[in-house]
Amino acid sequence: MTGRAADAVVQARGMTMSYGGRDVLHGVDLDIRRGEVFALLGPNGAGKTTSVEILEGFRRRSGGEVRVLGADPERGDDAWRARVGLVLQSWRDHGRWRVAELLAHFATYYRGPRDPAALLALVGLSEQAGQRVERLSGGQRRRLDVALGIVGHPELLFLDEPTTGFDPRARREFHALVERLAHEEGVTVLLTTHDLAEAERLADRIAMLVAGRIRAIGTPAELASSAAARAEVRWTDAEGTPRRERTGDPSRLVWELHRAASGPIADLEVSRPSLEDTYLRMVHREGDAAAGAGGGVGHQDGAMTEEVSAA
Amino acid sequence: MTGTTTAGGAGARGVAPPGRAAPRHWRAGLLRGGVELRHLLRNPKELSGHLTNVVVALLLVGYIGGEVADTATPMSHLVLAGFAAYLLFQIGLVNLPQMLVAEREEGTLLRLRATPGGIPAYLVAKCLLVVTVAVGTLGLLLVAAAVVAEGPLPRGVEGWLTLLWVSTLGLLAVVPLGAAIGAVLPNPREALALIVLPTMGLLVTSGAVFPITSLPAVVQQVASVFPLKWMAQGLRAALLPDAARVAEPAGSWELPMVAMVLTAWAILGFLLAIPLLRRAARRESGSRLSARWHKAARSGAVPA
Repeated sequence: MTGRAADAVVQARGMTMSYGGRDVLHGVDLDIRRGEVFALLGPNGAGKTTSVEILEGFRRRSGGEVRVLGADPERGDDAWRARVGLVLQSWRDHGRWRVAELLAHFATYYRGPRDPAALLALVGLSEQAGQRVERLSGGQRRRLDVALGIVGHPELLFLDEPTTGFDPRARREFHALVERLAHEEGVTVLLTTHDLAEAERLADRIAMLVAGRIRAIGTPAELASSAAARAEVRWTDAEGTPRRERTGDPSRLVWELHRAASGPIADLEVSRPSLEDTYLRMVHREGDAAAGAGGGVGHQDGAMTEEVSAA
Repeated sequence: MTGTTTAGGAGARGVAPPGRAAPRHWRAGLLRGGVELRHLLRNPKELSGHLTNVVVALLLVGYIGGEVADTATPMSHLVLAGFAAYLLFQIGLVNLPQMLVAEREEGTLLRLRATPGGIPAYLVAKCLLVVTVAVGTLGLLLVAAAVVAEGPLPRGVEGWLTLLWVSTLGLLAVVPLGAAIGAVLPNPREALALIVLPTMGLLVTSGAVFPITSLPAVVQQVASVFPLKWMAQGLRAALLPDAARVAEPAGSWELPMVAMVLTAWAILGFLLAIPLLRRAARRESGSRLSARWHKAARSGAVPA
């Protein structure tokens, strides 16, 4: 994949970033292929936004090699900008503009833009065409941001935590839109999210970024099977204490337990961890490490805490 | 998953011929300026802000009686010329920075930065907007004053030419400076407080609304450093008869000095504005936008 530069829309090798002596990214490698939906998954503070801002050309990296659409994003000119689309979390701009007016205006910056009316239909905002942007709901606003992000026919679209604060229905509609863009329009999408379910739903490949390092990368199926490779065996031993152990070969462990006990084992249970279990464990473990440095990753799942401390 | 790119697909649009880009920036900028102007005219709050200034000026002119020093020139004419200068000053140094800070905070600047040719278009649009608002305000003020309160109008070709160059140079002195200020001020709420007090101070000390000779010499000297005094003096030269010169500190209009001071401020403004605007645009990013927004939401300034 690295040899075929034409197919690599994003290529990063050893991308590092440090702020005032604190390392935020520790040598991140990424390869994003043309036409795929790639999710950068990680908890808040993992370095997702920093990574994406380096790739967007908004932040100067501390080190490493980065190519986006064949150019170094730090030196991205207007021709390069025209090939990249952006949807950020916090845009509240152009509130006074009418929806169709704004989209038509941004079309004038590009050569061969999309037809604004067709684009409004694509993102489901035809009815709001004459409405002022500040009156849109959160979900509508984000869909307008997507329309503005793709009005110039970009080859690569960045979606930074696009569904934060959405209700379930808005989230479903947004997911359908991203799928349509990727599968019908052939846009390469780099999505950042802290939501595993969203990454699994949308992405062809997922990279898990935790505490500035890529901890796992692959298709959702690959990640799930590698997560399940280490099973958890639980039982109650002869003294009546609950025990648990993680192993790549649960069958052998169970056989050895039976041999040692020369009989049945109480409360025996073998379970394969889901991708979610693995993700939460990674997040939690790094959260502990980061807490000392004032990182405060802090995942919300209480049940998780118990499991990891026992593991 | 293969991309079904439409005609002229992804690979083909990589390199834009550089010669074609510049006219597009201008076109986008002019279109943008036009839309912003239309929004201003349709926004009752903002429009009334500009109109209130004109109304206040007219009331002042209507109520002030008496003559300038030992001349036949009505005091109200001197005040009107000073107020006209102040309005230009305010457009450049209060309205423009506020606009820039607000648009930085909303993400307008970031979106344009992410758009090819967006920043040049933004600057073109802002220039168009500021010049139109300045010309509109000045024109409205002079015409309305002339019609309802026997206000002054430039005398002869020479007066009109003086009005033209003083207003142009005055705007050139304050607009880049305002842009530089807008590029560094933290947020719209603090920006207002930081700008308005010094502006009011200058309004009082620059002899815009009453003859500067009635102020202590030290205050006069300090005010002489700033452009407002010279803009007001230049507009008095354009609007008042030559006999009114006796009320000036130097006993003359000092037009060469007006030109020099305003040019110096224009140069200084451009020298500051270009790197500061570039820095402001470069520093914008999604995370900074979020951070600012969260801070604003916490302080209760905006609905979260």
